[in-house]
Amino acid sequence: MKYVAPFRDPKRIQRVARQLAETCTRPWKIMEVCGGQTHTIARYAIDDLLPPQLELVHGPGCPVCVTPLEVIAAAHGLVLKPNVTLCSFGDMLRVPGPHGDLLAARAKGGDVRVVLSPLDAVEIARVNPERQVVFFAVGFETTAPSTAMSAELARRLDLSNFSLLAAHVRVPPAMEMLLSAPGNEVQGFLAAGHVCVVEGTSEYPAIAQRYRVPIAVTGFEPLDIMLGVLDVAAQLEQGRAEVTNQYQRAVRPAGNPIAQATVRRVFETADVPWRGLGIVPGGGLKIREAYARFDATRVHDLALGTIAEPTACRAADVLQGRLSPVRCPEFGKACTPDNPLGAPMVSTEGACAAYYRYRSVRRGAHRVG
Amino acid sequence: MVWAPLARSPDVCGSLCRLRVLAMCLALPGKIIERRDGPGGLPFARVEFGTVVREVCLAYTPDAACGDYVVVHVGFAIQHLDEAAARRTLDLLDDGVTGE
Repeated sequence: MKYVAPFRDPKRIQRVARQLAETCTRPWKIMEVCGGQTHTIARYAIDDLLPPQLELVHGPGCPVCVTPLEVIAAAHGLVLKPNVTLCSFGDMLRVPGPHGDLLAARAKGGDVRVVLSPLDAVEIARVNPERQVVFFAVGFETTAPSTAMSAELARRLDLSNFSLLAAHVRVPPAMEMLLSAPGNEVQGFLAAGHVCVVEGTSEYPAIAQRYRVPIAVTGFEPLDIMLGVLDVAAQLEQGRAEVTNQYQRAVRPAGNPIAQATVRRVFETADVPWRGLGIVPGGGLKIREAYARFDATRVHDLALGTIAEPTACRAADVLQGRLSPVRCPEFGKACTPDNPLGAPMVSTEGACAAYYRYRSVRRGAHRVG
Repeated sequence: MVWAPLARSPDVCGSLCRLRVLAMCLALPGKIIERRDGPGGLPFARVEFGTVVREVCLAYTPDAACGDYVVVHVGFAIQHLDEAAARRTLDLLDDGVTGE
């Protein structure tokens, strides 16, 4: 069967929109956690299909956006070493750091490569034994298994010139941090479907109960988003706070145990800083002792200091759903995808970039959450 | 209200562009067309996304066979797609009982 077209079918989507309009009687604020979902919402103008009482706020689910500035600065330091080749995903390489972005470091002679998979970086290390290859690894639970397997493959190939500058983060602890923040207005969540593909849904019932918030595990096509919103809205109207799976074609309750086992072998849970949120208890992964020889911070003796954030960028408020990108005074003026002040304007998952890209082509009145 | 899903989207460069641009959290459904062994004893496959074919690691879906659909993220298949579950979602919706 087809797995994309039926989930973009306008008739089905409009049917859900009608059910949603009948369901909603009061104002509700629902957060979609994942930047991929923010992208779908902006691209398909999904907020135009929602009843006026219902507001979608965008969450911190943009890995590139929450990667701390000091890690980006450390990556810059690595690029300046003559024998280092730095590899990462394209988005990460375009985030402005204290000395410009990492791609710009190429102009100064740095060897920086865009890869589509961590395994590409392992291959670069294998065919260039004279180079120290560092994979700048960012991402949520979705991406951590791929990074873990790159370390595992490097171990199997006995490579001594491959290491990870790892800044992986975990989503459920960040959701808890947002919910327990003073002045929190989020009443329900669309949980990130691809995070749950890997980790399953077992972490969410405790959050739903403790904070009395419904959580719908949600996919990434427009119909998926609408079904997630409908489920959460129906629960809110009925006073329920349960965890449901609206992405059953991809998410099993136990997740992917093989991927989990590989991640646990290479990484352990740690308290880590999220850019815009601060230290999140249990909110990230660090490389285990047994894989220390693939840890770039040890191999290259990197010290991560603290770096002041650029003041004009309101990324912290955007990432916590407190500020809609278009309400930022710099949006579309001093800050554009070609000249971003902060990470949310860079990444394809950043809320600012999604708004900039799709809002500019929308007709008629804008309704902004 | 007329709602035209793609009319507002400037993204017309097709699936190859999507594969290149949406690197991180996005995972795409693809169909396995050929399996083979790769470096380090890892299983790999050629996976078709519309008109684009990419090399994908099957270490996390070792049972996936030719013809199966998998969710692919940064070069790894991270789960099988469950056809029955996909149909159930659509059928429930088409029968008008969603949200229960």
